Order: sequence, then C-alpha cells, then structure tokens
Amino acid sequence: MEIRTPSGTRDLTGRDVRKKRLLQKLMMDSFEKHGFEEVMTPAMEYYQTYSMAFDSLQDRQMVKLFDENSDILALRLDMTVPIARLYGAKYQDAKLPLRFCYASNVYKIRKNFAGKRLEVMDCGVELIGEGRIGDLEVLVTALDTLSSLPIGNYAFEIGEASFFGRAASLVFEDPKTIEALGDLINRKSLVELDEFLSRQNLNEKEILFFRRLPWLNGGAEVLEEARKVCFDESLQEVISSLKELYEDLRSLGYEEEVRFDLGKTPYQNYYTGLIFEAFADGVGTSILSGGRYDNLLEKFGRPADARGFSVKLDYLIDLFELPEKKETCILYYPEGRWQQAFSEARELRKIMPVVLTPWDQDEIVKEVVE
Amino acid sequence: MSLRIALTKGRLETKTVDLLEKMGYGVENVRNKGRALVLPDTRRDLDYVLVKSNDCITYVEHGVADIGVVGKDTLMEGSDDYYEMLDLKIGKCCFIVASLPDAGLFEKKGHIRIGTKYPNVARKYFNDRGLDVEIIKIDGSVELSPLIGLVDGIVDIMETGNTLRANGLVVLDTCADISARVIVNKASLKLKKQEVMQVLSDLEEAVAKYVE
Repeated sequence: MEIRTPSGTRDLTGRDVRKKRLLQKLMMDSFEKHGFEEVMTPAMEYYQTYSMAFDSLQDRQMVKLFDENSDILALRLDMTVPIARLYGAKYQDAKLPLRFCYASNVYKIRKNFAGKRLEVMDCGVELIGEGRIGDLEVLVTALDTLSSLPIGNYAFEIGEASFFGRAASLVFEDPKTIEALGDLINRKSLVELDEFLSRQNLNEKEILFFRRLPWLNGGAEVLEEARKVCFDESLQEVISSLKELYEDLRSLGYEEEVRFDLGKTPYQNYYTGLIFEAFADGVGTSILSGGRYDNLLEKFGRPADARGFSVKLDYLIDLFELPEKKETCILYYPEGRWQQAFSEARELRKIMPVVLTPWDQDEIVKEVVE
Repeated sequence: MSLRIALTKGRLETKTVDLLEKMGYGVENVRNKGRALVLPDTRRDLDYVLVKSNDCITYVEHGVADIGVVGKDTLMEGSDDYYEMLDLKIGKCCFIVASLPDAGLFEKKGHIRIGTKYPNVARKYFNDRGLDVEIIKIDGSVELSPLIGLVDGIVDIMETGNTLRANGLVVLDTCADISARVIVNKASLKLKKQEVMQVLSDLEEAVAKYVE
C-alpha cells in the first residue's frame, strides 16, 4: 500500500486553502445575493441515476463503487444530475421557480499524467422554471459572479444549441451523423469538417452554413454575420432571439462583457437552448460553463425548463494572490505561567488569531506576525 | 499579447520552419537553436518551443503554448481538447493496414492480432468494421512483428512504403491520410483572437502559395 493521494487528487494546505475558501465565499455570497439557496447532496449516487440522465453516458469517466447490495454507485460527475434527482424526489409539488446553488466536489476520471484532476470543486446554480426571463437571470448571475472574483481578464461567450441543432435536423436524419458533425464543429476541427461536408449530399447554402459555424465567434456583429448564412427561416428566428437577449443584456449594461460563439454545439444533446462559457487568462480550458436543459427534469418525473452553470473553482486558485495579509499573534510563555497565558490568549482572540507557544524564558511575550 | 507556438521536432520540423520563413517570420533562433529551449521570433511578438509530438498536444491543451504544429497521426492517437484549425499539407503520409501476402487478415475467424505504435487508431479501425481485434503495442520497428510471428498484421504510418516492400509486407487498406495540422488552445482563441487569427491566416496564405 502506497502512502500518497490517488492519481488526479491533491492535498491543499496553507495559502491555497485560504485562496480556495475565499473564492468559494465570494461565489456563494454572490449566488445568495441573487436569491439562490444552497443544497448539499451525497458525494455518490446510484450509477443508474446517471445512466437515466444521459443518453450516451461516458461511463468510463465515472468512479464506480458497489454498495452492500452489490448495486453500482458512482461518485457524482456533476451537480446538475443530483439536483435533478433531488428535484424529482422532494420538489414534485413545489411551486416553481426553484433556485438552487452548490459548492461541491465532483469527480471525473482523466487520462493519466496529463496534469488534469479527478476531483474538482464545482460552484454553481440551477434555476428551474421561469422560462426565457430565467435565462437572462442566470446570465446576469454568472456575469455578476465572475466580476466579483479577483481573477483578471476573462471572456464570456454565449451560444445557442438550437442554432446548430435545428440546422442539422433540417438536412440530416441520422442522429449519429448529427452528433459527428456537431463534434467537429464544437472542436473547430476544420479539416475534418470540410471532408465530412464534402461527403454529404448538401446544397451550397447548407455547406456554407456549416463551414462558417466554427468561425462565427466574436462581438455582437457575428449575429449579423450569422444571418447571412442562415438557409432557413427557423434559423433566422434563433438569431433574432439571440439578438433580443443581447439587447436585454445591453439595456442592463452588460454589453461590454459578452461575446458570441455560434459554433458551440450541445454535448450529448444535454443543452437544448442557451449555452455559455467563460475563459480566463492563464487557464487553458473554460472556467465556467452552463446553459439551458429542458429535457433532463422530465426523466426525474416532472418536466420543467431549467438552466444553470458551474465554475471550476480549483482552476482559479493560481490566478490571484491573497489581497490582505493576515495578522496572527504568537504568544510565548513559560510553562509555569500557562494559566495566565491561556486567559490572555482568550481576550486577544477577540481581535486576532493566537498561537500559544511555550518557551524557556521567564516572561510572556506577544509578537504579531503576518 | 505575445503568442507561443509549439513546433514538433523531427520529421515536421524543417518543413514547418521553412513555411514560417516564407511567411516572413523571424525563425533564425529556431534554425540555430543551440541549447536554448524557448526561441524568440526575431521579427514578431511571439516565441517558439520545439517539443516531441505528444508534448505538443499537452502544452497546447494546458494553454502554455497557444498554437501547436503537430502530425495528424499524433492527434488521432491522443486526446482532443483543443481546436484543430488548419491543414498545413506538409509531412503527408497515411495510416495503413499491412500484413504478409498470405495472412488473410480480414478473412480470419476469431480474433486478429495487430502490432502498432498507435493502439487507439488501430482499435478504432477494426472496431468500426466489427472485427475482433487484439492490439499489441510495439515501440520500435513495427514491421518486424508480423515477420517473426508475433502478430497477424500491423497498423502503421507509411510515407514511401519502402520498408514494407523490403520486408515483403503488402498494404491491405488505408485507414486515414495524415499531414501536419495546426491546433489552437481553446482559451487562446477567445482571449488572443486577433493574434491567433493573424498567424492562422498567414499560415493559410503560405500553404496556398508554397505548398499546394
């Protein structure tokens, strides 16, 4: 038996713990200010809960265990599915909307030695019910929360799963084809995308649309650019509703903070509408991701529209230094005078932390260190 | 904001550097690298690192390099958390399935044993065809493994086919075409869009002008 942490996990000590707690506090404070209520769920779920939630679950990414009845358990991959289960079990008759938030560790098995983590803390929200205005509310929550964090430069991108989804379902029937095409566009795998499109029986307008999709990212001007490649009225409608969303955000003063990427396609058909991500200087992958998922909750018994996002908190720890220095008092005392030392310490703890330190000299000395 | 480009050492190195030079980039430091590991461009606000092909993906995925030039063979075998945005059309070769002429690989009942440096590519090829396959990872000359009876056939990259012919192996099928690709870190494309797009369009122009 080796005495070390399992691959992909780590111990946190000292400043890193304080930084993580600070981030967590800032985020949970922000969620609370936006009216979300914290929930805690078990670190493990029945494997079945996840296989019910996802059409094609990447089950090799899950850490699996057995319980006393030999049922398969899985460490939670995310918090959205546990909250969907919670909603199905305990909120069947509750009045909508419901606003939940969480700060919980989630688990995903990664390739060995790639520097990626098995266990990370997800901080996020889910807003159930509330329709279109709920999308706006969650976007605003995400933007406000990001701007409350000490993380420097970041980019926030909005996409729409149904833009690709509708276009693809207009020209393809086989879901496997659609999934493969979506994957190529999502990964901006432009070389394979060209090859793929040339193998399909598409007209020029349709080819142009799918070829342009990965490039449709940037400021609000990409919405106009997107209009030009739409080959169907229903696609224009999607752009119009995104444009409306942008105008709404603009009227609230968020226009500088948002960009668009219409080349985002939904992972495993999970997202059904709005889809968004944020990237920060110094982190190679997205730090926040979320979107609208209208098909999940019905699998747990009561259909409702829903949207949410989560922030991968651990990725943010290296992006900032702790703002203020923490003062601590070291109280040195001779062992014979421990009673006096302990009661002085008790007084002093009203203002700052105290570390009691016995020494071999005769007096009691207090030293404030940072 | 300055960019970092990870170039793959070896087979692709000279060809990639030639292309950059034709684009007017200052690659003198890369040509005369000595022992330095980070090599600044002498004309543009960017620097280069020369790395092994697998590391190219790793550096780009983590965002410590913004752009990488790496063979499609490595991309197919590795992970895919990056944008693959351009085909440089250099370093062309292909993945092939080969065996001794009388091996009857695809007619074989029961499982097929395949030797390869690219287990994921090989497994996917046979699984897509519904064939039962056992992969044996070989690090050195893959061509040797069927000759001395370890495996029924191989999956490998082929440039000229000379080694295969010299050893009496025949190509049964081509799995995929390979060439050098440009990959981009996801966050870099969002946060340094202009700089990244500039390099991509310079490269695209150079490919159209000098390679095609």
